[in-house]
Amino acid sequence: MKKIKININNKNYFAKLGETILDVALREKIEIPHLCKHPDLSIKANCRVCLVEVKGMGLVTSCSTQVEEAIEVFTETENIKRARKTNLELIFAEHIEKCDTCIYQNNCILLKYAKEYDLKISRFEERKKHYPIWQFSDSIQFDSSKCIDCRNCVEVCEKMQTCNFYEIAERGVETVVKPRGQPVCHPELLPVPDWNSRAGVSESSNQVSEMPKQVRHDTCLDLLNNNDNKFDCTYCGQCIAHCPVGAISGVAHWQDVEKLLENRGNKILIAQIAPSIRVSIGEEFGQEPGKIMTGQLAASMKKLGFDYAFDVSLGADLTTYEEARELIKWLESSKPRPMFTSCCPSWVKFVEFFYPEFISHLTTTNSPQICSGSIIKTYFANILKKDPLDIIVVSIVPCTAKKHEANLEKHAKVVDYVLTTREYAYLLHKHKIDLPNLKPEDLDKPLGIHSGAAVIYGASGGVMESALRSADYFLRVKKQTGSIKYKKGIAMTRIEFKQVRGTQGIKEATVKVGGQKLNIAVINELGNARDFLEKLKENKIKYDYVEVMACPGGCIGGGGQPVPTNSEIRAKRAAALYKIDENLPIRTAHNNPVVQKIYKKYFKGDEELIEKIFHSKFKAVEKAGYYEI
Amino acid sequence: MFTQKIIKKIKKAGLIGRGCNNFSTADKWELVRKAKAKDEKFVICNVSESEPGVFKDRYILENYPEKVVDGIKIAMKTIHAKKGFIYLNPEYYEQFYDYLINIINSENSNIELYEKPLHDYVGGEETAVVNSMEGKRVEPRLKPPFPVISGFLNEPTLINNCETFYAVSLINSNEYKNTKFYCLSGDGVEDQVLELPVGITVSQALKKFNHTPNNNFFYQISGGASGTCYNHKQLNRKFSGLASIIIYNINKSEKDVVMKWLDFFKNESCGQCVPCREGTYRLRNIMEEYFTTGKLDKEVFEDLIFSLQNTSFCPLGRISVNAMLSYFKNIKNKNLNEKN
Repeated sequence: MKKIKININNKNYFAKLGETILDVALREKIEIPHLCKHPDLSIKANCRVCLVEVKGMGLVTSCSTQVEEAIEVFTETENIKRARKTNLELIFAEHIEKCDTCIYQNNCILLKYAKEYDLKISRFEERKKHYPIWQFSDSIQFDSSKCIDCRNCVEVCEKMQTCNFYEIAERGVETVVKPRGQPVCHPELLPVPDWNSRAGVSESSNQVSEMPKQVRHDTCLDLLNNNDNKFDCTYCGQCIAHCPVGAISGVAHWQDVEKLLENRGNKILIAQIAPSIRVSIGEEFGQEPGKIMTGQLAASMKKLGFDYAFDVSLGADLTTYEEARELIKWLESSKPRPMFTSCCPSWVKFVEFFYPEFISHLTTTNSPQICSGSIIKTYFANILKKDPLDIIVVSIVPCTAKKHEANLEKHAKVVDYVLTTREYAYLLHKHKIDLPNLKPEDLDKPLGIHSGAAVIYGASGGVMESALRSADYFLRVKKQTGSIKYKKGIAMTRIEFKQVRGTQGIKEATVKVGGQKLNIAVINELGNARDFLEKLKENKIKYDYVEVMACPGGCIGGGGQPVPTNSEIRAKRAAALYKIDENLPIRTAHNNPVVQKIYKKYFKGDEELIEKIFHSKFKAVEKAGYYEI
Repeated sequence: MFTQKIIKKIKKAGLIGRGCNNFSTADKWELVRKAKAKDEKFVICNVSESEPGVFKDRYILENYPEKVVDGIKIAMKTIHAKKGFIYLNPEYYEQFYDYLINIINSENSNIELYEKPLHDYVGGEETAVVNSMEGKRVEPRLKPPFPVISGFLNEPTLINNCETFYAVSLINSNEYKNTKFYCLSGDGVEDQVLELPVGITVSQALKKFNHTPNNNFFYQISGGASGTCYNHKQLNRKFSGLASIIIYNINKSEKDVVMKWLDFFKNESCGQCVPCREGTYRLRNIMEEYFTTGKLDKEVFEDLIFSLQNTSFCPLGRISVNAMLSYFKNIKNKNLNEKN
C-alpha cells in the first residue's frame, strides 16, 4: 500500500492511504479521546469527541477523516479543547453516574476523560434520570439512563450477530436505544416485573436491595408490546463488550456470592474458572492481554474464601470425551448432518429461537460448566459426603449467556452463580486482592486437573480440535475393540489440527480422523452462523461436524471479558491458550486421569447415568422476557 | 453525443443546483456519469421542500410538472440510469400523485413516486433522502462516499432539486433564460412566487414583489429556519442558496421569534450526533430561561454555539444558530454572542 507523509503537531509521520487520522494517532501513541469509535465496528462519528484541527479544514473528527499527503494536523488547539470539552460535558449529562456500585469504576473512560480534560461535569443537568433499566431475561441489563447514544450496541447486535435486538427510536433529544418493539418509555403501562432470585441487579447498578425475590421471570413479559416474534436476545453480551460507558452489563451475581462468602453457614463454596479467563483477567489489573494467570487465580479464589478452587477445564474434558463419543455414534447413525457443537449457550439460544429446524443437529452433550457442575454435585459430593444442596458452585466465565444457561430448569442448578471475568475482577478489587502479585498456587484436586485440549476451548476452533483429538482416539479404539470406551495402550493420537485455529469467521477443512475423512467447519460470530445455516438450508454445503461460537474469536472475545476488546487483544488471548496447551503434559481429554477415574469409578459403564448427567435436550423457544425495572 | 452535449450546455448555462448546496449541476452530472455502477445508476428528484418560507417546488409542480419529468428523463439518459424517482414530502405526494403519475405513464417513463415518510427537515439532505428510500432511519450518512459515487443501494445516484430538473429541461430546449424562483412570505404579505433573473439582490427582488423595505420590518433571507436576518438597510446583497424572503414585523416578540427557531432545530435534529442532539436541546433550554429570568450563562451559550457550528455531523446542526445570531446582531444589536 502506498505510504504518505503527514504532519501531526509539527512532527512528521508515515501513514498509509486509506487510514484515518485517528488510526495514525493511535499507532503513534498520540492521545486523542474517542468514545463511539470501535475497531470491530463501522465508523459512525457521532460522539464528536475525537476532534482534531486540520489546516485548511478546521475542526474535523479524526475517526472519519482519511489522511492525505502532507496534511497538517493539530490535536491540542484552543478550538479543539473548547469543542471537545463541551461535547464531553454534553455526553456526561446523558450518563447518570452510579459510580458507587459500578464495576467499571476502576476502568471508566468517562471519569478518565473528565479528569484529563477538566470537565465541569455538572454544567448541564442530567437529563436521563427517568430512563428505564431493561433486563433481558436472566442475563443482561441495559441501563438506558447511562446510555450515551453512540449506537455501538445496535450495530454489533445487527451486523456482527444479526439478531437485531436493539433499535433506535424517536428523534433528536428524544432518541432512545431500546429493545426492539418495546414501548419507548411509558412506565405507567408496564406490568410489575416478576423476579427470579437473581434478577434485579446489574453488574453496575445499585438497585439490589429493593428488589422482590424468588419469583420466576417468564410470566410477565408477553404483557409488553411483544409485537412479533422475530427478534430476541441470545445473551452473547457483545453489546456489553462494545459499550464504551458501561450502560449494559450482565445481571450481577457478585452480591449474592459476596454475601455467601461472608456468611456461608454449613455450605461448601466452590469456584471454577473457565478456560479463557486465565489469559484475560490480567487486563483488569493492568497486565498485557494474554498474560497467563492460572496460579494467581487459584490463589485468589482461596483468598476470597472459596473452599475449593476448581477448573471448568475439567468440565471441558468431560464435554470433549462425551462429545467425541457422540460424534462417532452420530456418524454411524442416520441422524441429519452436520452435528453442531452446543457448548456455547448463546449459539444454542440462537438455534432454538431463529432456527428451530436445526435443533436436532445440536449435540446433546452438556457444556463444560454444566458437566463440571454436575460432577461436583454428584461425584464430588459423594467424596465429601455432603448433600449437594449444601454445595454452592460459582462459575467464573467470560460469558453472560452462561448466566442464562445455569438458570435453565433442565440443569437443576448444578451451577448456582455465574460471575463474568469483569465481575470477578471487581470482587477482587473490592476486597483489595491484587491478583498479579499473588503467589501462584495449584488448582485443587481432583477437579482442577485438566488437559491442554480443555484450555483451548476458550478459542474459536478449540472445541473442534479437542473433540477431533478424542474422536481420532475413540475411532481407533473402536476398530480394535468394537466399543467406544477408554482403553489403555491404544496408539498415539493425532494432536494438532491447526486448520481450525485462527480468528476467521468461518474456517472449513477436511480432516482425517481415525482413518475417516470428515468435512468440518468452525464458525464464530452469529452473523457468520446465520449465513452458514442459510446455505445449509438450501443444501448447498455438506458437513459432518461444525463448531459454532457466538462471540468473535470464541470465548476469548466473550461478552463477559474485560473491556476494551479488539482483534489484536483477542489474538493475544487465544495465542496464550494455545501456549498453555503446548506446554501441558496431557493434551487430550481421554488421557485426563480424573476423567478416566470418573468414568471408571463413578459411572462404571452405566450409559444411562452418563446420559442423565452429561446430556440434555433442547427445545424451540418463544421470545423470552424483557422487562423494565 | 447527447450525453456530452447536454452536460456542456448545462455548464455553459452556469446552472447551480437549486437546492441549498450551491453545487454546479454540470459537475455533479459529470461525476455520476463517470462513476462505475455495480448494477445500475439512479436519478432522484428531491421534492422534500421542508425549509419554512420556501414553496417554489410546489409552485413548479403546480405549473410545470411536465418540465420536471422531462428534466428527470434527460438526466436518466445522460447518466444511463434505468430508473428515476421523485421523492415527495407527504403533503406533496398526496397533492401531486395523480397528476404526476399521469404524465409519467403517458410518456412511458420509468419514474417512480416515493413518499417521504415524515415531513421533516433533515430528510431533505441528500444522504438522508437515500437512507429514507432504503427504509433506514432518516438521517444523514457519513460523507464521503458521496451519493454521486455511492447513493441509493450504494449505487451512483444523481440527486437534484426539483427546480434543477425544471431548469435542465429549459436548457435542453433552449428556452432557459437564466431565471429562478423567488419566494416571499411573512407578515402582511401573501405567499408569492416569482420567476426572476438569477443573481439579483434582495432589494431588487423585493421591488418586484412590490414591497419597499422600511424600518417597520426585518427580513430573513434564504430560508425561514436557517436563513440570515437583516434589517431594512442591509438588503443590497445577493441571495446565498435558496431564494426566499420572509418579512417579520419588527415589533414581534423577541422570545417568540427566537424560540420558534430554537424549537424548530431541537425538534428537527435527527439525534445522531452529540452537538446537535444535545446542543440544540440545551441551547433551547438556556434561552427559554433567559427570556423568563433575564439570566444567561454567556460561557455556556457561547460554547454550545461554538460546538454546534464547528462540530456537528451535518449542515443542520452547523446552521442551527444562524438565524438567532444574525437576529441578535443585525436586528436587536445585542452582543449576546461572539462575532461571526
